[in-house]
Amino acid sequence: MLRFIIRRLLITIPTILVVITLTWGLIRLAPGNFYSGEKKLPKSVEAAIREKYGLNQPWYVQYAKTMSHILRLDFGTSLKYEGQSVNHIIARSLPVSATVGLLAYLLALAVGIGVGCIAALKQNSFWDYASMTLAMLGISIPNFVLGPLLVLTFSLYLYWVPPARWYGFFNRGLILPVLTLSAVYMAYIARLTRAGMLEVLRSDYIRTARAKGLSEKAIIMRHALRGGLMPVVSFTGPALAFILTGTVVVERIFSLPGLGNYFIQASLNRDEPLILGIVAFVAMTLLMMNLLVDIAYGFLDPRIRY
Amino acid sequence: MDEREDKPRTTEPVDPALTSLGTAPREPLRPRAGDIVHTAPEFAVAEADVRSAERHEFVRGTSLWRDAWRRLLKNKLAVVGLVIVALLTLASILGPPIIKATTGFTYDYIPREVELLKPFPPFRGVDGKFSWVHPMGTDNSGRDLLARVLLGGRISLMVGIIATLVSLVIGISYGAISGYLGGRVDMLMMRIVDVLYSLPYIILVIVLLAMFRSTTPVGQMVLLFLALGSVSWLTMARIVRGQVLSLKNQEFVLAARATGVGTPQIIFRHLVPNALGPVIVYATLTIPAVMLQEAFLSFLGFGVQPPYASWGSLAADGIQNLAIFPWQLIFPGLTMALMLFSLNFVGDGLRDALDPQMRKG
Repeated sequence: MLRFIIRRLLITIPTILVVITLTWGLIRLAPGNFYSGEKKLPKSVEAAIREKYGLNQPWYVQYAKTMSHILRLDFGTSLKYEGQSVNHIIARSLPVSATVGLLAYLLALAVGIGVGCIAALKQNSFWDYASMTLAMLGISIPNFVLGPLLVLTFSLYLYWVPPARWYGFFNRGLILPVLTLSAVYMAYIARLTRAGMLEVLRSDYIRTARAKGLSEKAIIMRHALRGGLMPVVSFTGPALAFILTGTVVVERIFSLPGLGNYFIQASLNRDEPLILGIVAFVAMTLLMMNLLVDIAYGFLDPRIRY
Repeated sequence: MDEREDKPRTTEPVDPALTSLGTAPREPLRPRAGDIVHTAPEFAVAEADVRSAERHEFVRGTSLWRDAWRRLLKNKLAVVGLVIVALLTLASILGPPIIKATTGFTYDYIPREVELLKPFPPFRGVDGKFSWVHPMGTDNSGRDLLARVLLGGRISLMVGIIATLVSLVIGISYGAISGYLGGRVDMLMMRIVDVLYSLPYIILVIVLLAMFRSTTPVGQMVLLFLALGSVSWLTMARIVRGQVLSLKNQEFVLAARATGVGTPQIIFRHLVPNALGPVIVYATLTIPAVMLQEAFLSFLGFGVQPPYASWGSLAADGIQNLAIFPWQLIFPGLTMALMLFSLNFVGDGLRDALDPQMRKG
């Protein structure tokens, strides 16, 4: 186990370096920079800027400097939002994204596992087909179509919930963003649960449990679910990546001040420190979470030995 | 083979097929009927094995495809999906010229009359009465939405197919080479895939598209093809590698190697065609995935640029006026959802048909 963790860490660290280097390279290789806007700057101003941000130094010195700052988790100051440190922007916007993402994931887990179990236990029944068709629909409807449709119905026609904006944590305004974001995972988790449960329900140890005379409820709750949910556990890694891209869209639709919205703005503004900071932060979080999921997987499934 | 190595070479070979691979038998073997006898007789049997192996594979191959096709046709959802995909594709290809011929509208036609420069609801003419002119209404500049949705279909499909082809070419070559060469090369190549796999690549694609923002819409589209194709080959490479690993120790490969077929030919003429089933299944599932990503990027404003339109960019335009002109979102959005829905069912059906063991439930 320890060897596995060390080996994974040995892959994770270069991966983070690759992500940051790639992003830095893309920003630097592209023609133009933050200051090359529509209006040409006077020569002296440009020279002063180049001096201030160390743009006159050779590229490897700049690269090494950027890298060493990022690896010490000091992401610098935003160019667009003057005077605000990138760390501050991340600290302010992360809770928004994390709340929406986490609530969406919990909702998806609850509904997805429930629906998936019912579909598996009543295989080939009406409920099975209906829920699996719905799940396919959930996978196929892009969230930027689903979100506006929900807004149209529940905000603009029924006036139940506000259509957009951030009203604070645990507010009615969060219902639609969370629903929009969770639809895709709900569908995926339902399909994974169904497939996993079907496989487990046919296995020998379930037959043994039946032969022992255990009640159907005990068989499902205590024996089948544990094995049947393994695909859902291993989906957590990809789900994190999904949440990431999903929140970008959802924050855009509902104008939430989250990490994704800042990232898109930073990319459009060529705000180098902010882009690099968010990319580095997200990559680190994502890879660490993936590592944790893999370790948890090893503990949950006794058949897996690293 | 090993046991025979230390036996004196003078003894008659027990099994000609076995000895002919490594060592030359003393006397030339009798050619079989239908064999092409080479000038180097020691290779005759191996060549025959290759031929018969190929013949065998070929015969089994056709029946495999026919079987799969029959199973696919039995799957009602997949058939319905196939029909919808075919209809939508046909509509995207043939629709624009037909609209141009009947009503004179194209995707970028902005009317000159001031009273037409506004959004019309579906099936409504200038006088507010029923009219067939704009079945999906018009957008803010009075452009026919149906023509734009069909153009969006063309571009979305094009992105899906081209990016999938790019990922097929890269993925198959990479996976097959890695699997066939094996050893250290394989390990290094797969470590690279592992590292790339864990990259949050959609973020990198956004940075790429934002930084290298092309000045022309066509340039931006080419950038989009390349970006999406170059990030979606990883799973393909893994699938092909797995297939090649399980195939490369089979006799027909050994025979091909013995007859002096070069490594590239073995990989691309003998191994890849045999690994095609899972590749096709994964490719069909890649098309909707790529289309979704394209729509996502276009929705955020990094993808297809005006005057062109894709379903994603049309939805982004539609959201601006959601409260007053909801049809501008509903039509492109639902068309896209229908297409993805059907494509996913076709992909699922194809998987069940081609690989009954993989079938779930």
